[in-house]
Amino acid sequence: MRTHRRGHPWRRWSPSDLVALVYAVLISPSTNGYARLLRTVHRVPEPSVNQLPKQLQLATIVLAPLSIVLCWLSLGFAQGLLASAAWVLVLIISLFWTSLQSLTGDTALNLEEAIGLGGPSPEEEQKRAVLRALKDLEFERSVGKINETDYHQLSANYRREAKRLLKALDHSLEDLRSKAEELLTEELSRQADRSPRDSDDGRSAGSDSAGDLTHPQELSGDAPAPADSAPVATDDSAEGQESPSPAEAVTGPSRQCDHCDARSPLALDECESCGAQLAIDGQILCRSCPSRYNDDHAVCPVCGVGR
Amino acid sequence: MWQSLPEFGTALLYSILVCAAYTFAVALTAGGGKPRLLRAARLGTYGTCALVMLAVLVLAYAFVTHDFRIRYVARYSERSMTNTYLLTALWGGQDGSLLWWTFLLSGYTTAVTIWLKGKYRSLQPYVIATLMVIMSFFAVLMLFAANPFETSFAGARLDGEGLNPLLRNFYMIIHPPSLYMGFVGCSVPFAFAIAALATGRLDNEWIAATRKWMLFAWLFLSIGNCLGMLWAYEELGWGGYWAWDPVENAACLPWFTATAYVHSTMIQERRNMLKVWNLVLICTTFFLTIFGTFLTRAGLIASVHAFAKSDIGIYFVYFMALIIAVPAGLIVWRLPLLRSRGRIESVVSREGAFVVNNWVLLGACTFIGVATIFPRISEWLWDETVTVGPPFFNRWMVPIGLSLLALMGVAPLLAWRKSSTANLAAAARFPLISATVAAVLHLSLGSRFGFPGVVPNDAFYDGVLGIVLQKLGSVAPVVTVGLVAFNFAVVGQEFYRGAVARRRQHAEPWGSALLRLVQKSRRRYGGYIVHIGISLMFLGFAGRAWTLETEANMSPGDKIEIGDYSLTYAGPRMELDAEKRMVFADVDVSQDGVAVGRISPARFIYKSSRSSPTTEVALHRTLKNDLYAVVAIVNPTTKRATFRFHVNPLVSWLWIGVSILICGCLLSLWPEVSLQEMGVWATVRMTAGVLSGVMFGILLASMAAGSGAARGADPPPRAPLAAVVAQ
Repeated sequence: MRTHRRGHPWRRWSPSDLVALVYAVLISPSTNGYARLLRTVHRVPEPSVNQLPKQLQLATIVLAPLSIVLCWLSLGFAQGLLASAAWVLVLIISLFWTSLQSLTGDTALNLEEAIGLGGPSPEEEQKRAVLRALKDLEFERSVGKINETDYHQLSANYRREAKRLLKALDHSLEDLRSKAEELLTEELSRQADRSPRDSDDGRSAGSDSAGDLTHPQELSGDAPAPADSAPVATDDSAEGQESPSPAEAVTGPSRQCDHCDARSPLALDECESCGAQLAIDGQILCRSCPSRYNDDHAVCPVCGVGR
Repeated sequence: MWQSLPEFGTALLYSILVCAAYTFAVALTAGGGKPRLLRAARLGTYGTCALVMLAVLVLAYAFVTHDFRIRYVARYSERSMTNTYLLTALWGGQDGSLLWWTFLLSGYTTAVTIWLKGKYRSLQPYVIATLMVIMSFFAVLMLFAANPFETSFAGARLDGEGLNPLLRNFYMIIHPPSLYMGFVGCSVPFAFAIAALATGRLDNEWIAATRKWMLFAWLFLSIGNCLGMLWAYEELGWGGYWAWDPVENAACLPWFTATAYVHSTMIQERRNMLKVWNLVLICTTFFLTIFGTFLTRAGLIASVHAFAKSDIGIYFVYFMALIIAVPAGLIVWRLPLLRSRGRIESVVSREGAFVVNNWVLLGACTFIGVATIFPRISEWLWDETVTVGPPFFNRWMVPIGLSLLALMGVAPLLAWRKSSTANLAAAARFPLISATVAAVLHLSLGSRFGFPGVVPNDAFYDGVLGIVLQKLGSVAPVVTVGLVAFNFAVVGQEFYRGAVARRRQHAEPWGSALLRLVQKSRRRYGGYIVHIGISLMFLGFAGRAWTLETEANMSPGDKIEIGDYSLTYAGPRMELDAEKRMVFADVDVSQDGVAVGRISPARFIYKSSRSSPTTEVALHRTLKNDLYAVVAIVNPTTKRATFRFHVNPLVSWLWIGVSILICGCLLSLWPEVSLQEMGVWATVRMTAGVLSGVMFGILLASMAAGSGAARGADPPPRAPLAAVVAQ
């Protein structure tokens, strides 16, 4: 994604800013620490806090071997070793500092780590092992290594185990699914409250809310939420993600997309058809940072991410 | 000069201990499902590993700058050494080799920690904690028993003592690191085993993860042992490649148990059996790596390879006691969860064959281990030191080795659970015919080519046992050839049947069917390729039965015959370089009347150790045999020289077999399941592949260069490989 800056930050920085920056890199390598320091030290608009640390990491990855090689070539092998040792020392300090910050709760988990927490569960890992065993069994049968009686017996055992694990996985996701639905309902209600007026496109608190809240009513019903139904699908598109054209599918309150003219339910911030950001009352929710900006901006003025 | 370098280095060792302890504590606390603490533990792991790297860099700097205040640097380096050998000296002595071990452990720990990201979340903390305990042990060892940064009492010398001349060669650069990669790699499966026991997560998914790490360690154990054989063959000059030295034995013990594990783990994956057995194998493998290190460093057994005796032994004893006690306690605690749900229904089944294979491997391991420490055992029991030498091992390992070779061929023919007689007969028909034909051909035609099928030898013992062993030893060559043919036929048949099955299902041409077959089942077919490699190695071992050797005192112009070769001593010559004086004795070689070139065995007299000249072997290699020449003495006045010549048949097949083994192992390591794994594993594989490829590429190129030299090109001033690294 392109970052639009009002002015290159480096040109505006004074030597004391650069010293503070190096200090920030060494002692506050985490995203939050760096962002805080930027806000207090610099007078330029804060660049994306997701981008600069990555750029610094990239710069370090490029600078470190380059400086080591330069030292080696110009000053000798021994000095090259010393340069390597110096960079490793910086890395050690950075790693332990971040580790201590994690320990004391000063840093938030980044997106990658949060996603990593949702890594495979024991049942998922066991399922993979069983499927692998099934694959091996099929192969052994195809090359005649196993007789048919044993094949059927083993295959039945493995399939039974796989079914048990799949059921266990589904069951373990039940609570999480309900929680997700609750959170979604709350967010939809919050967004509905934020749009104050009824409009010509048929928004109303009564019947339209039935249509608008078709999804929450369905979801809060007794039936388990089908995994393959889109969370904001209407009645017509209950059978799956591959709904007919949005203009036909959306019957409740909706907005028209400026890019493709398709209509998407009011609750959505992105067009169902092309994914572009939809404006609510002329305000667009940035896809990167949690800020809203006017519909006439091409990019977010806070982080510079495009629509 | 960096004035505080020794103190800084020692401070780094203390830091490693403290940081490993911190990471251990945080990891254990994260075991309760606390993601923030787990993150802290992961970062602590990276930091601790980086500290080890820093210590290595600082020691390397001390070597390169000739900081002779440090006792270790003064002992193992000198000013005339090149940077390559200065860095090699890092692991040339005890203290530095312990730091090198810790460095490799930190590399593995980093790789595992990266690989574990998002996987096996409940096991992660305990894997990290276990690895930190091992790292702490080595830090304690270095701090209190073998500090590589310790300074000399007498202060800095003008020059150091230099590296042992025997270690100044190409193999010294690569053999210890690759062997240590194998030893240290066994820590990772051990850490997983402890984590699985601690968490109670004893289902099969962690076994699949551990298998790859164990296979990787096994690969480097194989490479390391092979390079040791090459080093012994080309440097030590006694004509062979394996002398059953205690250190050599200690290096191969974990190889046996690791081999047993990579087979028996399949039983657990398939049949959910042998869980306790697999855990015991993993823990035993790790224990043997520590035990082997203890043997070479504690002075328990005398060996040409051993480090100087030191006080380090007691630390190893305590650590080994910990390694035994903790896993044993955990296994007993988790025994209810480890009970198998299945049982072996028939010995004539794949599981049965693997169990028998495991017993044979473990038996071989136990036999070699007990025989190695027998001098100590006999001393404790009978107050008498009884040593066992190569003849004892060579006699007893023949039936054990042949059993393994036979099992290796039979197991792929058997089906899981049980094999019907009809299935087995159909599967075994072609291999049995191949083996019989090969054995008959060998018996009838072998003598014509210098490889008789039956080679009489002397009885080693009196009585029935002696006779049985003698007979077995006599027929071992033809039995080996038959079993090698059997194994080749089995593997060929497996490829054929798999390709036929694919063609039936997918209507593919033969080439595509074979390729896709291997692609879809890399683990299986990589294993078959490894079997081919091992079969070829057995062929190389069998060549020892036909070895010829002779000793001769010759004047220039004298001729001697040995086997097919006719050798004429041309005369001596001398060369000098900065480090040493080189005395060559040129010998012209003819085979069956045709001149094939000149070989030049030599003696190198290093300035730093004039009393211990080294022997430089000259080799003329062919696929059929190696002509191996060593010069013992050269009289400068009369120019008479005393030579020892060997003709070692089929040795080249040993090295070819190892190359094929490596290829098969790399194929098995290729991931089959998840693209997500490929990130770290692609790097690890690439590294392993590049390392293996470079090592053997240089080796094979130098073999070719050496052979070319013997075929009439100008004789090189020294043995080819040494010339490559002399720069």
